[in-house]
Amino acid sequence: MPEYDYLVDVRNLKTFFYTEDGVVPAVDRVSLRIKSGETLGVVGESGCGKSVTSLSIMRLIQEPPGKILEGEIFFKGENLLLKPEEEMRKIRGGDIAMIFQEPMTSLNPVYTVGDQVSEAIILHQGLSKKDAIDKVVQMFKLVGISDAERRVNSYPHQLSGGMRQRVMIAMALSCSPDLLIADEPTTALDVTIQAQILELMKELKGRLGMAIILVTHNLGVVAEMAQNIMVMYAGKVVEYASARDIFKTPQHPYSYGLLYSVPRLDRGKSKEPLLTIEGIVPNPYNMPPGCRFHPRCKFRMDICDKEEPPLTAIENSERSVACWLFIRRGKQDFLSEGVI
Amino acid sequence: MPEVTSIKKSTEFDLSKEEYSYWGVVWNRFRRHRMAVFGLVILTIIVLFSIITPLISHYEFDTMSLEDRFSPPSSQFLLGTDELGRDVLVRLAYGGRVSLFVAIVASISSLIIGAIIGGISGFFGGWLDNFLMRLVDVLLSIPTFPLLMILAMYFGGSLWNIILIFAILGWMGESRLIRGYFLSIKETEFVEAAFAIGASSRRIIFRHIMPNTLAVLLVSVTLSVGGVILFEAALSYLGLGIQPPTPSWGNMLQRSMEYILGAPTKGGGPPWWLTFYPGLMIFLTALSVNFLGDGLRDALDPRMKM
Repeated sequence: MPEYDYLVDVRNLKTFFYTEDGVVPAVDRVSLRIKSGETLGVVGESGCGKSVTSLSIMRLIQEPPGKILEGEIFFKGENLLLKPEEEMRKIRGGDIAMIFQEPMTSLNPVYTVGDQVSEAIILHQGLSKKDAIDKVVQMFKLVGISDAERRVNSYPHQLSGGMRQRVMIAMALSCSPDLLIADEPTTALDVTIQAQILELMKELKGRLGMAIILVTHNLGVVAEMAQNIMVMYAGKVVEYASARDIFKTPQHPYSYGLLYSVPRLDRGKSKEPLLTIEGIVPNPYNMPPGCRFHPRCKFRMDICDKEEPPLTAIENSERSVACWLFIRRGKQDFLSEGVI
Repeated sequence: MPEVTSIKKSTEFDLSKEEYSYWGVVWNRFRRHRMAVFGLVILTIIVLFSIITPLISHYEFDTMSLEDRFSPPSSQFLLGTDELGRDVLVRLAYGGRVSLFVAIVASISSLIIGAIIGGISGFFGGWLDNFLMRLVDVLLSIPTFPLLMILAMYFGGSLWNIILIFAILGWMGESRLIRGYFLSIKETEFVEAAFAIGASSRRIIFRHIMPNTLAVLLVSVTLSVGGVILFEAALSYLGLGIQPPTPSWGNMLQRSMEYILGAPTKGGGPPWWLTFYPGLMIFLTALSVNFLGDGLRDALDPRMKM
């Protein structure tokens, strides 16, 4: 048995970017925990710090301008932030692998896909080139690339977007990582291919048993895949709950807004208009005081622009939410209140 | 099911069409560029001429025959002889070996220096980048030709000295170019993906970024070969390039200038062949190299349609 409870245990992570125009608190005191084999969905609008969180875990934040200021990132019980770069290189691609958003540009145009996938295998498993290519063929078959023996000799421009994303998945999984970070893996693909890729990831997860951090702004995607969901807004965690809870009873007005701004077939009255979250994401150089969501919040109270709401655990559950409304009134039921 | 077979067929068709590698595509585009193909052909002929002629000729480049001095082109001396009765054809071929060798080696060396400095500058950025690029600014502000002359005078015009001088003075423009490419390629997702599989900085520089600049490097080297040939000719013309008796196109041209107004030629009149043929070789080489460079640039441009 391993001597850690959580495969990944991030505590109070703070990653800021120092640019010429000012300081961007891209990730501000974010904590998250994932057990082996679990999937965590990280949801939020563009620029809310989802990707920076995952890049911080990989220690791939470019420095300067970025800097991890505070916090601890425990992976298998060891703090990654204290590791020397050389050890990090062994972890990247070996224990923690990553899939990127743009399969069109994530592959180097001058090498064959076989070359590129085998690179990870050679780096981490020390196989010979020939054995590595054999492994690549196996991996390609695993991720459903037909004609794998020939495809290893293809260049990226000869493959479709869906194929390339399969190649990226094969690359990420080739060294059997314990944690897979998928940063919007399906955003750039068309809908039918999205479904295929998700299905593939689900199946492979079942077969290989790795934990996944799924970064996305697509709620449908997390509903399919994740046990737990973390909703982020402007660099902060606003709500953390199991997928079931969050879809049934969102506690933060922002989570509620996100959920009901998406059309769904299973919702009763289909004539109901969709919810919009008024306003725009705050200027990252100049975050609003107090709760960062307050300028857009329909439930704004006096305290909201003065003090920041702490992330509060909800009794008898693993949920937590950062909202004054919750602290004042207890559990919310936005749905039956019918707030649109 | 007829649909299934038809789908299968179309994939098969696509596969066969896709067999081109990156370089296959480049070659296809290059072939359509007429001037570039012309340049390549001329250059190949010049190179073959330089290599083969001395092997099959009766004369060495320094075989003198004083009774035949200043012979006009004839069946015995196809391109005539010079002031010491040496065969111009053989000297032209030898000179070609020297001039092309100097130009190619100097261009590649300055490119390597430029690529390394530009690559470091663009990849690591920060104060290092600032320092290296200011150094480039300073070096570019020094008038090249006088400096070239001083160095050539000081070190003497041996083959390797000339190459060294060109290499040291020629890398600045290329380093700027490569730095620019590094800056943009560094931000691409495939570089991020390479970091994410645990590749080291060195590996990323040489394996992931450098090959993507290969196209620019190739074009740059080609164009600079033409420049170096012209520069070497100019240096030689001032008597500072490759020193006789080793022939180069430049110093052949320079020697001929002494006799252009009058010499005891066999047939009377000025010995035009002494000036014309080296000049023609320099002209043709520089021109064809420039055509070739243009064609390569177009063929390698990733934004062009395949």
